[in-house]
Amino acid sequence: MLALRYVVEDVPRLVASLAGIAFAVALVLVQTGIYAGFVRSTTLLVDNSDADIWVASRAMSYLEITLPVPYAWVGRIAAIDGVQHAEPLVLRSAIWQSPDGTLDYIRVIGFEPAGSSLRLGVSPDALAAMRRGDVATDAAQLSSLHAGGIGARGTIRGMPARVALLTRASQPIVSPTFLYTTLDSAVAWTPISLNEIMDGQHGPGTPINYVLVRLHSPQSASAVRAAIERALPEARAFPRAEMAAITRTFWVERTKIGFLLLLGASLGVFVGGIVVAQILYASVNEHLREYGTLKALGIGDRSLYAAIALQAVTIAVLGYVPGLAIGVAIAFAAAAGRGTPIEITVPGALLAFAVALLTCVAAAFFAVQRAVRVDPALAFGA
Amino acid sequence: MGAPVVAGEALCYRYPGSIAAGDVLRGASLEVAGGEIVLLRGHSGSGKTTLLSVLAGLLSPAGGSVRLTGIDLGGLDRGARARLRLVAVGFVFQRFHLISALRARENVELVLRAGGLSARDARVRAMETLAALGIGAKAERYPRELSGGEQQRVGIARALAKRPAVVFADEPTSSLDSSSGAEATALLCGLARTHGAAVVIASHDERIVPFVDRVVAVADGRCG
Repeated sequence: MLALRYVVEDVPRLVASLAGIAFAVALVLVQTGIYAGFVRSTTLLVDNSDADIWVASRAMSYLEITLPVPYAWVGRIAAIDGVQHAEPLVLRSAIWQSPDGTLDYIRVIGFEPAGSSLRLGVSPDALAAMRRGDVATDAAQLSSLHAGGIGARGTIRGMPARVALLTRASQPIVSPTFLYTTLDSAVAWTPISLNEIMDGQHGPGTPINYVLVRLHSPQSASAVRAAIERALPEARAFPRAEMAAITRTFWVERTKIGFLLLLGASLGVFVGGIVVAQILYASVNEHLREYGTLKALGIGDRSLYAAIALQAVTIAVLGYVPGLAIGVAIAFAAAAGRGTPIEITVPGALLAFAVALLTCVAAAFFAVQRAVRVDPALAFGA
Repeated sequence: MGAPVVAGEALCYRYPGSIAAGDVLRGASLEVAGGEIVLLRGHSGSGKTTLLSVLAGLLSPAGGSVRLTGIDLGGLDRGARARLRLVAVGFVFQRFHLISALRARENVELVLRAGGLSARDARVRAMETLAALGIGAKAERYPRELSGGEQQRVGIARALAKRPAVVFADEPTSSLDSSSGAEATALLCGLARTHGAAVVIASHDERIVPFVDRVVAVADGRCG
């Protein structure tokens, strides 16, 4: 009863402490949201495919760094028992030039749109309608390409390219702009062999980067994986989840982004904690004689700890709500304005709540020392 | 009078860091029987408030012993002394020391709840006691909304509502005008007698003398 009265008796002080906690909560939410969004975005291409197995060179580091493999692997893999469908995927780099001359570094992802295992957040029919020179890209990347929307044009290696489809959730945060196109377009824009330069289209000699495999039954994944690696000793076959995990791990370890975001979130928590601790300490100081009176009356230290901890928990709960709202608003604004995925997840929200609670309780522990050390004989002073 | 509920024997006390002033208590002894009302009278600095603090277990004496309701305080740790105060001792303070964020009724209930009474019982007891002190109608007011005399009555209700064995009152009238002071003293002593509680009052206010059973002079840290 007393603890809650102390919390609400001074509204400006309450607002200041709530602002401190809301700030810390929002920062934790946004930082964990950026982390979650970043990590998820690194594997969007893999996650958004129907391929049960991704086949690559044994030398593959992660999705975007691998060695080419022969196109002939597609046919050999398609012939393995249990394989329903095998398709090639190339992943190369190029430069997009918009009509105003602006350049953008891009990743060209060549595939066979008709019946492809890639989903890209658009209908299979829309994908199948893609023609040579057409590209699909994430709507959030249009500004990077200096493109207005569907129908916008540019050139790649001097050849025309046209934005034909806008995809959703298909662009990793840290990668160059992903342009999805037909295999022939990719080969024409980024030839890496004499045949490709001469022919301008893919053929049996075209180096590819991945073979995407759909199975008759996902339960046969381990058996088919083993069969592929037996048939092609230079190949590694990764179930989709493993392929995603390898890519995710690469980015997390390479960028140290988790550490950097943790550092930012820690600063927010530290500042929020200091604000709450200072306010609780000031509150205890202001009521020091009353705490002395309570001790004189026989109220034990445990009750004082409980009362101040309850004040802290109340501040944490009350501060968490606006903090959550601010975090969600920032996530929406970032997604709408910049296409930056900040994912406020349930675990992230629970983590932020736990952080708010711990911060407030730690701040209370600091403040309560002043209260429990007060001399009860103080009450007999005038 | 019954057996002593307060017994201080050869009490000595010196405030930490206070070298020049010497001992505040110098072998003070006092016994107060159950239901007895005693006035400790002395000039400012005579040691009467310190004696009150030592007898109530708020300060630990450098020498001598204190027994409260037959329990030797020297054998109790800080927590045990606090629990004993919570159930057996009431306090009335010079500046009332009501909790500003709580209503008059809640100030009384707080101690009763801490002592183990249910919320309902505490509320009933608090209202009964406030009514007996003539302030039941203002039970829902905050201390800042009460006059000094009314605040002191709430303080007296807080001290007596739990039916303590002894009440220690430090200068209970000095913050009140003469009429309020007399009224507060009469209410404190009257209700204490009704409940059979002993009362030890430290004051230099002569007007209290008619209400008490015994006057003990305190001078130079000793009881006369």
